[in-house]
Amino acid sequence: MSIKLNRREVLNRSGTGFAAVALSALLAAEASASEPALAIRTPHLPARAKRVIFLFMPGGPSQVDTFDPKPQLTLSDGQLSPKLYLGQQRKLLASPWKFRKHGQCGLEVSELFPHTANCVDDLCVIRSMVTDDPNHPGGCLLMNTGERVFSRPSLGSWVTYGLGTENQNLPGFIAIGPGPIIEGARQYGSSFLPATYQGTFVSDLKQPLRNLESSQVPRQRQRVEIDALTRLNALHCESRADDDRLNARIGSFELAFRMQAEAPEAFDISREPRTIETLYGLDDPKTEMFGRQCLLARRLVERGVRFVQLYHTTDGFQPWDQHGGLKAGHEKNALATDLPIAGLLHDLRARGLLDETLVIWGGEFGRTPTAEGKDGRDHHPYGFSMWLAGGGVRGGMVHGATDEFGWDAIEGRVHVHDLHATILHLLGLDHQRLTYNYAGRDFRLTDVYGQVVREVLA
Amino acid sequence: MLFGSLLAGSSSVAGSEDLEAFFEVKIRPVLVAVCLRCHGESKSSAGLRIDSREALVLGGESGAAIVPGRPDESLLMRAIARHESVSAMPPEQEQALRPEQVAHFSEWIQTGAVWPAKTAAFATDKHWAFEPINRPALPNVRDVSWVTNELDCFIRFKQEALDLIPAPQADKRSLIRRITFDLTGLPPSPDEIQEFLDDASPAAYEQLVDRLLSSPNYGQRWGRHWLDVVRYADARDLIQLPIESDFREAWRYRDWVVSAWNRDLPYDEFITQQLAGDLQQPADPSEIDAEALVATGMLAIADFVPGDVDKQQMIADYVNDEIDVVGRAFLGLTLACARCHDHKFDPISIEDYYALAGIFFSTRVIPSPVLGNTPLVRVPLLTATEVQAILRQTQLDKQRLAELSQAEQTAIDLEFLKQLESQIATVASRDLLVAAEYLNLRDESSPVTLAEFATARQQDAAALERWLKFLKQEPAITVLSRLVAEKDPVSRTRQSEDIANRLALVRANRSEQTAYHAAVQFRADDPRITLDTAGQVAVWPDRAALAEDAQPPAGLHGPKLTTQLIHGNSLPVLRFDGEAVLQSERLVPSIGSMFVVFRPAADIPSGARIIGWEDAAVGQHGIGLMPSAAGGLHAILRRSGANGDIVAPPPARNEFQLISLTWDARGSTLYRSGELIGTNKSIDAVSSDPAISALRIGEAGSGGGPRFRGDLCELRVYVGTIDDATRVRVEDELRNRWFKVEPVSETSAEPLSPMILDSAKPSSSTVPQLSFNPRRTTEDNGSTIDNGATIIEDLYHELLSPRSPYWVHAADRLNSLSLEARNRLVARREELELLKKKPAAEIPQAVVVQDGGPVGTKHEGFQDAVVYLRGNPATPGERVPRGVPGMLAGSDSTPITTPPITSGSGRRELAQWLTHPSNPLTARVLVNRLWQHHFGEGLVRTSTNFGLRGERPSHPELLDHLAGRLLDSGWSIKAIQREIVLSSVYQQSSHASAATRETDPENRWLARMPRRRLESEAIRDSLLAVSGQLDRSAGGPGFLDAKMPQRSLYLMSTRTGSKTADFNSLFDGPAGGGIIERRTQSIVAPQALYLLNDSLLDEVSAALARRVSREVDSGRLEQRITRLYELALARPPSAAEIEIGRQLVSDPNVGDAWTRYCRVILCTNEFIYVD
Repeated sequence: MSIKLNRREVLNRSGTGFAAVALSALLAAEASASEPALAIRTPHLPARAKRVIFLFMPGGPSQVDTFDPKPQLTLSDGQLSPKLYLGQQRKLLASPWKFRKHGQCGLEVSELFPHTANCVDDLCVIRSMVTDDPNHPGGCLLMNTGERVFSRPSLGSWVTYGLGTENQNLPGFIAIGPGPIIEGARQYGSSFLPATYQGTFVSDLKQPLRNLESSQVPRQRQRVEIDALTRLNALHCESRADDDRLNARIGSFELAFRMQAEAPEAFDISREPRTIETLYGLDDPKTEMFGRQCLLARRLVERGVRFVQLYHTTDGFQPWDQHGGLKAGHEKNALATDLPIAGLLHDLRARGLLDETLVIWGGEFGRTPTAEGKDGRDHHPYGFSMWLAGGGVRGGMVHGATDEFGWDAIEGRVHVHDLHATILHLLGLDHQRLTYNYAGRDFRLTDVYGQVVREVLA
Repeated sequence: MLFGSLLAGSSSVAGSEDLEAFFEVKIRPVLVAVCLRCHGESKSSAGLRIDSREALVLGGESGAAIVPGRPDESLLMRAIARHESVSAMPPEQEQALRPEQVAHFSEWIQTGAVWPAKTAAFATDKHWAFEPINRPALPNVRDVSWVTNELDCFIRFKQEALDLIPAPQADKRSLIRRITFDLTGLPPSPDEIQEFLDDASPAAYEQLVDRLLSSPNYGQRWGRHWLDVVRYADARDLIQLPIESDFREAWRYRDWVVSAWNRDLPYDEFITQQLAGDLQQPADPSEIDAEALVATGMLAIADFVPGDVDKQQMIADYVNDEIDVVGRAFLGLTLACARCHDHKFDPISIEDYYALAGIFFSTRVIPSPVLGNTPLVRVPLLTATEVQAILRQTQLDKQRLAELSQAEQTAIDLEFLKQLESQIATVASRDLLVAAEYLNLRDESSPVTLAEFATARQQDAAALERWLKFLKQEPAITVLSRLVAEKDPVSRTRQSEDIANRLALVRANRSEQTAYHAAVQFRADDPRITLDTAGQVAVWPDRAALAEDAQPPAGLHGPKLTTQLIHGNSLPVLRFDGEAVLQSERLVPSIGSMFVVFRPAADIPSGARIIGWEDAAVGQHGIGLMPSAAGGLHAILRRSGANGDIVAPPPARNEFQLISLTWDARGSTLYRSGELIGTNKSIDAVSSDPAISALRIGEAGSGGGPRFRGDLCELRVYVGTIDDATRVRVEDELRNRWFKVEPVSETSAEPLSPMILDSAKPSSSTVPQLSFNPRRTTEDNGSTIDNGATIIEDLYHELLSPRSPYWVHAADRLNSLSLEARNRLVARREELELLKKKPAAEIPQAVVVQDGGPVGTKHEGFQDAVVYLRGNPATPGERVPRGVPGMLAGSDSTPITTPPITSGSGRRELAQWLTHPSNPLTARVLVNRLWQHHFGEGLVRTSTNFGLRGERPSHPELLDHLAGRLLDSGWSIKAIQREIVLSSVYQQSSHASAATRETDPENRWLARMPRRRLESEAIRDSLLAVSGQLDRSAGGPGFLDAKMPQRSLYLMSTRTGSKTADFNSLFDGPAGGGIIERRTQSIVAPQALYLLNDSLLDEVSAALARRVSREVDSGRLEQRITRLYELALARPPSAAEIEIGRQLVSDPNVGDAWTRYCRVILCTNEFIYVD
């Protein structure tokens, strides 16, 4: 399909199908004028990763119970914390879980994640994440859109806008979560970017995309009808030949027809062999849901989807939010996600996809080293852990550190904006140059902030 | 793409406009971001300022910074290229300009250092948009025949300069389709088309326009355009936020907007009501302007997170959102940019921002911050009087419902009691015997199971179990223990029959009335009273039929059990010590009577109540009984605030007294020892406060006074009217029990004790010590059931109590009744059912703003704002007086005289300033927006940004002409729209000649009408309209299901996307997130999938096919196809199109070929594009 659009038309809408076009004035400016408008965009810089899988853990996993061991916290269990939280001085709470060194790198991981721990040589654990918002809505929005209050395009939208997508027959950005998520569509929305870049949210894993099947007619008959439609549209176009949009829309029906064939296949995990099902934990009810999400993520990136975000919402919309019941809650969450995540990392590596796929794990913030009640921890934005793996990331390393109790990030602080700058950098995008003009100024994912964390680059 | 074409290419720059654009994109941002902090107005390091071309040429201490045309001689170039000869700029290495940026500066200086503004500094007051509105003269147009009205002159003048030939006038079909969609968002019907075609008069089009402008569908269309720029959503989040923190009544604001457009509410008034409608209320407090209140919903639906823990930040955030929407919707200015620093491009300082912020900080969206999710400000949309009336009615209904429920329960209870008593008389003997047999058998270690035994005896196993439990209860009932212990079956049968006969006798002797109506009966001599370890009553058995036992309320203790000499007899009494309370769950009967045997302590404080069965708050409902120390009485009776109190003097001596109090149709009456001591006829019943659901003995009544001190022997309450004879009988019974004149000897054969206890087996640590009862009969071997009627009577009471094997819980009682009994109750239920179904009287309310900052914050009341440095509330700066942006205070010749803000938040003054005829922006921004919606693009294409970074108008004189017309028309929006759509430019065909396309590819000069894709709402509304299903009713809360037939304006949207109807997001409809300047028009495959496969289209296509076949005889294929085209595309089909249609509908293999064909037509480009 070859459709010629002038630049202004491109700006007004977003091209045919899911084909995403980099539209920023700057990118457009720097592109050669003869380049076809619908091509995949060449990034600013050499790309280390081609695609992203973001494993989002809503609610805020506790750093001191997962990837940031604190022996001093264990020793000081029950003592008052020197730091105030919301004006209160609370008691330190030792982690109920033991940490052990794993892999060749000897990185310490808590016993909550026995399977992920086996992949530790692939992980780059950032122990010095900081965010601005101690609340779920603002924290999630900041992590996923770079802004804690106002409507802004999501990370996945920016990436798709900047790079386009490799498979025109599937959405470029897909978010998958079995339950509702806090702040809803804002987390994956395109805000002021054209609607093409919004994430497609899949909550029913059995019926991932709508309207892929006609309830009324068989495929052949639909073919006949689309042919008739094309003839009618051609008659309409005869006296309107200058309007490229009309041709683009004719093309969109052709694409839709092809998607009906391709998309169900992409989402159909029943085609996977038993060994793969076992690898992702599909045969155990405890791991099945997140396992399905992980397996879907692999099938989608394999088929050229640019950005896949998985929301772990098997138990409520923020399952990691253990103000109480830390032990049972974190254990349950870890159990549900650990094996599938390890399976995903293994599988990506086995297929040679890991080198070009950036995998990100984390929540909107961490949890306090102090206790809330007897067996809980509060929200904690001042220092928490996330990890990266795959495309362009140095595996088997720790970046940054929190203080002796796991409170403040004191070394190599990585703000959410810095993480975003780094993710874009790995994808070959310069966070300062990936802009979109809206409301009188150029907007970026990182606002006026962000530094690429060079230490984590391979 | 002016910048794009320039920047994409090389330095082959042409016109000055391109050079200006180059400056704006490449140079100015760097100067502002990197250089200005040290070389601007506030600080000019080394004497150098960089905020104007002149300043750069003039230079600083080191000489000229730039030499236009000579980059190599310009000091600035050496500084930014970091030559060793000069100080590197900026000094910080990490902020050094990138090589390409340095190259841009070089190119800029090379091409003459073009600086767009006519005057020097950034803070220009000569930006076109800030200049007063001109009344431009009409340009001289050569082609006057083309001109229909004045605005055509401006358009044609530019075209002539470019040798553009306007497109011919559109054909009438295209025109009616265009104007109908444009003004109403709906397609024209075939009849409307025909009427227009048939009307050959020159005024036909004008009449069509007027008809459409006055259609109610107009407001639904144009109101939506407005909602786009005020970031409207129906709610923030319908799932995770509590109701009070979400703006779920936003739809009232949406409906107000629709109505305002339909009424052509003058635009100045439209603005004023949205900003300050709450301050425009009638002076008379008994009146209310609900519309104006609702209008402030525009501010109230601010975008912020109501659960933010940092409430300062939260308030600052919604203030920022309000400033943003006011700036962009009304002024076309990005005011919110100045939150953290002076606006980088526009002459808006951080002080200007905080002057406005002071106005909005002094306006509350939330009443006051609270922990967790903060509620929003809401007000009722009725006057105080109306609200009071509704509240009163609600209260009355609630009360009546409680009364009826109580009456119903009483009626059910009476039926149940009848059933219970009949069971005692008919089946108790047999059931008792079966249970006794089973216990005997079991004692003999027979292996028979309970179930087997029950089956063998044709007894229900559950019933048998209940009997076993009854027989085993503590303290045991001797007569039953004896029966159980009887080994001889014959004797056992005889005893059981004997018991049954005596029970029947008790029943026969019972007074209908007292037996059936006793609701409460507490006796101090009740052997079942259980004490706690402190000797205080823990559980007090209620002797009344159907009644549950009483307990002290949580946290309080019960009275002590002790003995007193009463008329010479040592009798048990309950001693209340001023702390003790017993509580029994029960509503006050509206009609009834109460009997009390008691004596107040001599030191009882005044106001102490022996009975506190009143509402705690204001003395509106219920009953209280208040003795004085000398034994005087004050009976409190209330019916919804009216009282029927009785005050009676003390008796001669303060001794134990028997009191009867009745309240019914005769009024309230008080007797002491059978003598009338007071009456009050003012009320015929008492009301019960549904909130007070317990009879409290010894509890303080309303006002929380002291508690009762003294001794209580017995308390009874009867429901319903009790006649005098019955009252006397009850009094006799009580007198006999408590006031027997002659002492009874230890050896009396007549036991007073109600029940024989098996004292050898304490039931628990709280078994009462029964030594107080001197006449308790020890178990004498010979006596069987002969020791008195009292024993059997008590057994009878036990069988009527919650311990009875025949007991059924209140909730299940109705179902346990016989059909006949239930039928008797039906009539009573009718009013009750009606009342239950009556919808709760609703007080309509709206989310609004109110004057004065949130209570309990530093913004409470009216406060000027403090500048937040870097936008951070944690770093406050100077305080700025509330006011409007300084540089926009009007020009010298036409100043905007805004009164100073002396009281209140200043929103009224802000509205006055915005709507002042000399404000250059308000009218321009509006007419530009109207133009945008008629032509797809505004004259200024950045319709929410008229600042320096916004685009310049294509036709500045036309913009001012329209703005002037708006002011002249008294801010009539419809007048401007009428002028626009009646123009020749609007009536052009959308077909462009090759020459026009060549000269003006972007159609800035409008030598053709742009072809437009329908918006999301219009697509769905068209589908419903052409298939004949559209419901044009207006208003009310939004709906989620896209298949509902109402217009798409009412599809639900939320800020977070939860519970947002999914249709809109598919076709670039509003997401509810932020201000929408202009809708995108994406063309993506999911849209095609939706049209091809969604079930909405299944229904619409089928309905359209049915409509076509209904309207045209089925035999005439060609006419039917023609009808389909007229309905869907507003024109007849061509021969080729008919042929395609014929092929599709003639396929014999497709059952619903017409439905499929209709769907194809609905999928065509023509259906969703308007020429």
